[in-house]
Amino acid sequence: MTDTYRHILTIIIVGIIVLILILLLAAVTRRIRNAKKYAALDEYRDWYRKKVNNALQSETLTSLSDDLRSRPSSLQWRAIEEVLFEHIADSRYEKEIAQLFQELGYRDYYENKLKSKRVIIKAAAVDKLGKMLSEASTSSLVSILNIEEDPEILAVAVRALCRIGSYQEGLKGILERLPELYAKSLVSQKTIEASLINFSVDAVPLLVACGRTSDDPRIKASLLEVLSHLPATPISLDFALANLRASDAEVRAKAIKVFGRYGASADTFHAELLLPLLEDPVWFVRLQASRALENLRCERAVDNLGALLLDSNWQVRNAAARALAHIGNPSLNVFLNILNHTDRYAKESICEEAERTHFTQRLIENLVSPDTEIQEKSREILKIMHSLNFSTLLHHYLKSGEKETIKREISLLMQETAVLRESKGRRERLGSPVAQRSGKGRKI
Amino acid sequence: MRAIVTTFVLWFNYFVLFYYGVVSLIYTVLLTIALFVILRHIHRIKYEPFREYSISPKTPSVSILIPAYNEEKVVVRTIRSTLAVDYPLFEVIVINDGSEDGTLKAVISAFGLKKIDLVYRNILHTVPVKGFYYNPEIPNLVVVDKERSGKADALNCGIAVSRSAYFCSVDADSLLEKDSLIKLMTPIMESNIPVIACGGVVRILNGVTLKEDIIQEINLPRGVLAMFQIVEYARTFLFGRMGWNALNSLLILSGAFSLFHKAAVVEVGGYRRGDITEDMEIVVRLHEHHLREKKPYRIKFISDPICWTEVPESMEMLGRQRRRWHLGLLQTMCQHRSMIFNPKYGRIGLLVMPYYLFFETLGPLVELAGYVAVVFSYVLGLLSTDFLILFLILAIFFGTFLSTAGVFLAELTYRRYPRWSHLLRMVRYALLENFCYRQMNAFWRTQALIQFLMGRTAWEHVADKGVSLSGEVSRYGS
Repeated sequence: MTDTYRHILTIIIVGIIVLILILLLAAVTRRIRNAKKYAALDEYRDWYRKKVNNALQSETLTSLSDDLRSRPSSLQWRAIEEVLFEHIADSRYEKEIAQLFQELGYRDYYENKLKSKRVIIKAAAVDKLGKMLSEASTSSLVSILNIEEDPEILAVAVRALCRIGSYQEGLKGILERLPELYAKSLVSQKTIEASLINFSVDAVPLLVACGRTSDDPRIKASLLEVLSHLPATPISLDFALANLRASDAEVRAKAIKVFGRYGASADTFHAELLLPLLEDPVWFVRLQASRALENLRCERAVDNLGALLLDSNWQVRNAAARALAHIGNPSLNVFLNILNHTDRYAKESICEEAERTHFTQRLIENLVSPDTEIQEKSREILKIMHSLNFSTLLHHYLKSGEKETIKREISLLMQETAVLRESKGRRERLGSPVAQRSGKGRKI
Repeated sequence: MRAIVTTFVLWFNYFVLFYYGVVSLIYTVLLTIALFVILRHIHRIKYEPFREYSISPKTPSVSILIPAYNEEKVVVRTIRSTLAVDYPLFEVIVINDGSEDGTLKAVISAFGLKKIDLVYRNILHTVPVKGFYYNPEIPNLVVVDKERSGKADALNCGIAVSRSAYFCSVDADSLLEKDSLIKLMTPIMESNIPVIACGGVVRILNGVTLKEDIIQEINLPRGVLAMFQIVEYARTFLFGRMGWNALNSLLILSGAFSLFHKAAVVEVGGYRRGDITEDMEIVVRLHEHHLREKKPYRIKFISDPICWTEVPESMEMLGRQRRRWHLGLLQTMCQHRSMIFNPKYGRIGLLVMPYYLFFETLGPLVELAGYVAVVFSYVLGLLSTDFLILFLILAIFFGTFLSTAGVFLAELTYRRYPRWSHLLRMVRYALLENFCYRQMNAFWRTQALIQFLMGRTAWEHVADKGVSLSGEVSRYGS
């Protein structure tokens, strides 16, 4: 082995040993530094927490500003910031604490950091300004939104502006930049939507105005999605109404979702508008329409929903079954019709949703209903469910149910089903041509 | 004859040297990338919107799938920890894969479940399901009882039952951090490119103190083997996977806790039944499908420790686990051999798959052959003693450096091992790992290679895993 090779190997080994020592030293130094730092920080936090809590209780928070003054980026500064953040979520103290942050110089400090060229420092500063609900920083944040191209900073800026919640400046700024954010894929649709729902119902007029002027279906769909999470207003419903016939399926589906928000108190006028959408060529539009009608508990939709029980898409079938189960007894006829249908899969979807939505319990209670029509229909449905092996709840009632009359009825219907099964089996053994369709699903 | 053998051994030595140099270079590059990514992550975490998303109605719902086979001693604990995660909307689906012990009974009695009738849409062609169990008071928990058919089939069954757009696979012997699920979902929500799968760091549960199924105190295990695995996991997860993640080239997400976009998995046909390491195979298939169809996608990995799992503490069980992992790797490489050096699959085909083939699959064989070559070189008088010694020292210190780097990266993450004695013990094991543990691993993996060449791809069960917490049970390996 030549000396050169030996030297090279030795140098590499020494280099590696040095690297190991550097790593160990870094780990040890970090531990010591962090241990000291966090012990001191904990102490400061406890101290300031007591002070702030007392001041909040005695409503003298603003007089604390001199006591809380500290050197920027010191441990005290950080402890005060963290303690104030603990209380800012409480709407009682929100304004006072936001004001205090400003008086203590936090706003100026972080606004200065916005000039940094480092993404992490800039994004962290934007985030802090948002967390301290610094309304005065809105214009700085809007300008960040307008000039920045870094997706990370933009996402944080959108969240910060939504947290601050200034409509005229913050929301307007976001909505003006929205076309570019979407066109250049700078911020994800989910981030925008999840942030915009932080605004209250007061944001609706601006959101609708933006939606009306935009031609981009993605923007329209996003804004409708946000509106569907805010309380429904006449303006939002008008906007949704105008988009029920939009050429873009996503927009139609989101517009329906806004109607779904109305819930059981809705005017039946809206429910009727949704009925044609149950026949939409796109499955997720039909799905949203079924869900909305479920929320609206619209009895007039029973027949249309019944038609969807045989839809080609299983999610739509299930949503329709769930909507009908929630509508309750008025759906009995539709259920009976379909349960007598030959499509086993559709029948099973109904049975499954009936169990999931506790509709089966209602059917069981209907067995002693004074209304003989309801009683008979419920009995018939339970019989079919039992024949399809959806019997667990019947057995459960027999075992631990309260009313003896219901138990008797259940036993009777089970016996009838058994007799029917036996005669059907006999016919099959004799070669009777009984239609058998397994459907796409398989029942356990 | 002697001249031929001498020439062969000599050239083989050169080959091993070259091989070792390339592996070291790749590891160093991965480590450097991981260091930068993790340092950036610990700064970015300050403004990550975890908390906002954990209460947002816009956060997509997730089905957490827990396949369980003979897990009666740990499954209830796992379900409890899963039900306690901070996430706005999720359901937990436990799939009892034909357990022969009291797994089903334990779950039914712990959560007061009752049998219900549900339609089973067998979209992924699994073996029959025997029943569903449910408690209206815990509406986000469903237990599926099915015939035994392996973890892949059990996961497919869970996917078929799931009602969410995303599903998350969790091992029945794992514990989740409360914010684990939202941490996995955040990159999905923030990304403009569809993220079809996301995984995180899995840490070792052995030695950890639990109180009411929640981690109370982080501690190191007493067992030597578990200690070696702690160092090994830190290295594998924190610089191996983080490095590949930065290149969007991850081939493995741990089956113990990974989040997937359901439609993407269903589109490729779900988990492949009978595969030994279904977690790796599905990720490779997702890459293959999306690259072939030229669909934009990302498979991500985050450096936060989010899931704690038990590891085997006996040689026999560890050997079984490692053979199984390596057989799984071989099986996956074999199934997807058309991707290797295929430019159609971009960096996955040209860089990652060849790396896994030459360095991960064949690495243990080259390592063992290298030891044999040393003996031959000595016999043939080819061995320069000082070169051998220097080379050995280099190999040991480079191995120690990599493991120490893993320990250092673990120090940077949150939920680190808190005591000074922990750090010292881990560093000690980072050094000791090179003397016996590494060779044992190479031996088990070479055994797997031989088994594979002989046509054996049967699943070896890992028993007595988790003795430190829950006693002896036979279950799926992790």
